[in-house]
Amino acid sequence: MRSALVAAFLLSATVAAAHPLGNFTTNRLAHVTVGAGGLDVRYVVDLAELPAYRALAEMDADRSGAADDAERAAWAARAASDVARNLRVAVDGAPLALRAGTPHAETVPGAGGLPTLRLELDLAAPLASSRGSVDVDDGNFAGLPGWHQVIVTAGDRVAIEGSSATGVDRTNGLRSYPQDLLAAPPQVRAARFSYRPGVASAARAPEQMPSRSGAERFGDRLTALIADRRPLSAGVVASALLVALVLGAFHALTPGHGKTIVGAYLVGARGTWRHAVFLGLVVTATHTLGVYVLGLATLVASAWVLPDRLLPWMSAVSGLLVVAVGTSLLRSRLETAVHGHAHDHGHHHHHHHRDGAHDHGHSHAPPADLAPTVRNLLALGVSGGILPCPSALVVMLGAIALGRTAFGLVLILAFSTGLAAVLTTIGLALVYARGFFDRLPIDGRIARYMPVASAAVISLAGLAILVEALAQIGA
Amino acid sequence: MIRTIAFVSKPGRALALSLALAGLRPVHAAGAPSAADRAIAGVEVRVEHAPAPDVFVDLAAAFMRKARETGDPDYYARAGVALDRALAIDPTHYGARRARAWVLLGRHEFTAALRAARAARAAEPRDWWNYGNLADACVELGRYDDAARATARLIELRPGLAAYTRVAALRALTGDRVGAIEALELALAAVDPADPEERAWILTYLGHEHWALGDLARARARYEEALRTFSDYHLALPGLARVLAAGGATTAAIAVYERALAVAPTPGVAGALGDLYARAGDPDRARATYAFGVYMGRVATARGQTLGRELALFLADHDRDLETALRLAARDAAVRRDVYTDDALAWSLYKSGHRAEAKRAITRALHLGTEEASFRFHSGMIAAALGRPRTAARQLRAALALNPYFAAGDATTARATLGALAAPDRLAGRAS
Repeated sequence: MRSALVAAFLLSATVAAAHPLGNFTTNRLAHVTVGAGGLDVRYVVDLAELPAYRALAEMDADRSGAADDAERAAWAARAASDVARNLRVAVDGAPLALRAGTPHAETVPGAGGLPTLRLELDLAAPLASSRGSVDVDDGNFAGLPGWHQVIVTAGDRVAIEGSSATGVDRTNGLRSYPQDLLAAPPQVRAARFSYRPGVASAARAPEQMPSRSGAERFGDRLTALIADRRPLSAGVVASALLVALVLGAFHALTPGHGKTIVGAYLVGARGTWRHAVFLGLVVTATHTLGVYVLGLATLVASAWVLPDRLLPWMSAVSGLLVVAVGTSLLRSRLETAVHGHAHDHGHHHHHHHRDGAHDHGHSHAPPADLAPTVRNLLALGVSGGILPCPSALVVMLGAIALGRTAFGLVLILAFSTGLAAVLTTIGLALVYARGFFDRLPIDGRIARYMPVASAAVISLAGLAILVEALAQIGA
Repeated sequence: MIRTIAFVSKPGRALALSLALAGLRPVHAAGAPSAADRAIAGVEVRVEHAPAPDVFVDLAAAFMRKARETGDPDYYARAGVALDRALAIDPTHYGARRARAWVLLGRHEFTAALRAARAARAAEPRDWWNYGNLADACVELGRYDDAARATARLIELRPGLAAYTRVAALRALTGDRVGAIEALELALAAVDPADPEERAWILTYLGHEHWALGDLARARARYEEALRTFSDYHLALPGLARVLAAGGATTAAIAVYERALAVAPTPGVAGALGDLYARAGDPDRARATYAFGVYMGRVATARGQTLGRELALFLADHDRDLETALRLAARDAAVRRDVYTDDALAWSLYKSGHRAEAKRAITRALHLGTEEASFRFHSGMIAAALGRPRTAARQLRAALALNPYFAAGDATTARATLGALAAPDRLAGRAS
């Protein structure tokens, strides 16, 4: 009885190591990459325990009971030639002759240590034209159950358009399958796409799906807006614009998006509602222009620089700008707070004035030198708007790739307007809330140092943007 | 598809993705997704947008459909998880509770399925759906009276395809295969044209009934029609191969069996193909194929699953690991007392030398009067071993009369044994 219990325990322990897909699945992945050098396919087959057993028995030509290296290589070569024959790739309707590299076969322990079998094969062919339309049809292992997927990614200096297949490998080359049983194995055995010279986008190893914040989900929706291929009716356009507007509004609430800066500035600077609205307009204009310019720059620069390299630099520039505004404000306000007026020298003798509190009351006028200047507002608005928003950029580049440039540009405008509306609202709220605070009898020191604190917040926010950007550049 | 957009988080990858995803449209090329694949993809989009209990029940149904299409039990597990999700959101959700029985049937957890079906019936006594699951669970557990009652209620509430197939099952079990064929023909006329797998399933069962009556031509026609309806249908392939082998088309039969073994390997198919290789004079292949059948048991054990009476029969038929065969059959018999389990238990007992117990088990297997050639054959062999030549001869002749081809090797053994029964002395020596 006890041994049965122990056996049951051991069984349950081995279950975890089992092939996550069924024990008789034949899983295959054709990863197609089109680069300046031509078309490459990395073809991976992962045989679960039962088909692996049959393949291993077939390998063992001399029936010695185990496949040696030579037998395995011979089997892999045969399998590879089958794979190459049944994987049909056509460019503009003409079959592409794929050249197969040396295949690699290895066993991987599966359930209870029983072997599963992996076959990896690289196939390649040069492309005659720098643009074309490609059909991929994987006729291998037809009718056998398992994970079937075709993945299409762009290599160097090539843009992929209108691809029916995903660009993301969730399995790390069929090495690890999603644990979520509700995510069914894909059954994709064909793909269609076109390629042309253009945005270089790195085909990279997949990462684990990050847990997404609400803001990221909104970014996804924005991308989905543009990826929708239905013909554009007035209703679609109107609803797309509305959605973009709302998305922009929500985007303004994501961390690091200027609202702290705007709020802090307006509170500290004793701004009026006019300042808040002006700031909103500046943010809309700069965000829109920023995305346009960045998109254009990306398209032009893509031949030399990867867009994900460019974006951190833009962030860094924007961060520097914010830090500059913040520190300049900090300096002037500190001096005002300390000496009651601007000073030329940089010494701050806080402690000398510790006991010199006097009643500021509610009726005092703001010091003239703290009122927002157009120059400062502009600088802040620009720095708030120029922060690259990846999903907006993606939408625009996606629209260009789809031949819907104008629609993409308008969507960005709507997005920016939503963004600015929220920033302006926050600014207005703070302006009026401050009016409320002003009527409260607040200790003079607090009132006096509030502008200083807000300037410090601006500087710190700028610093945070800069550090994050530098970290990305360094990564 | 929508799921992949989730990776839009870093600018470069986002860019690559948005371009790659730009044309989200279905590809209707070769190897197009099946009805179940389309159903799964459709529901997964809904899960993404509105993860409500109803949507998860639909997802479970789509996974069940895929399980039926492929024979891959992995999808029953997925269906179960989908129902768990629905019930986690709303523990009282009726749609999820009634579907639970259906999923448990797929997972061969018949006792739990019966419990779930009864609970759903208690909640909604007028929902015909519950009586189909109830009937299926009772048939699998050998509670035939309960199955008949549930089927009668099903006919009352909803005469149609679901009722016809249950009627056919009960008629076949009680020895009325002609009546079973009539009911299946009614089911075939009622099938939803948008569900090719269901049509193929009914055609396959028609094939099985014709085969059981030894009608090779009709059986073959039905299996072939099933395979035209749903290519590589995992239930029809072994049926067609068996008919081809019986008709002497050995090469074609081997090819179809090999295909069946690749598409959805089972010990039964491995055993039948091994037998065919042995008869075709290829002992090496026969041995390798038998070994594959044994290996299926090892893989199942390593995965914490059990292959029950099917593996038991395969092992007993081929005199391999008879101890395991008996253990598996006895374990099945402990939870289900249906006639097929009784037959597997009887045959495993006989092969292990427990003749008296084998006799009791085969008597139970025959109590419904099921016209199954292998039951008669097993009964005859057990009777012969117990030294009752007249009973033995009667049962063996009945087996051959029912279906002269019933199982290639067994029919041969039946004839040889019948010959030997004419000379009782020789038989006594053989059976000991």
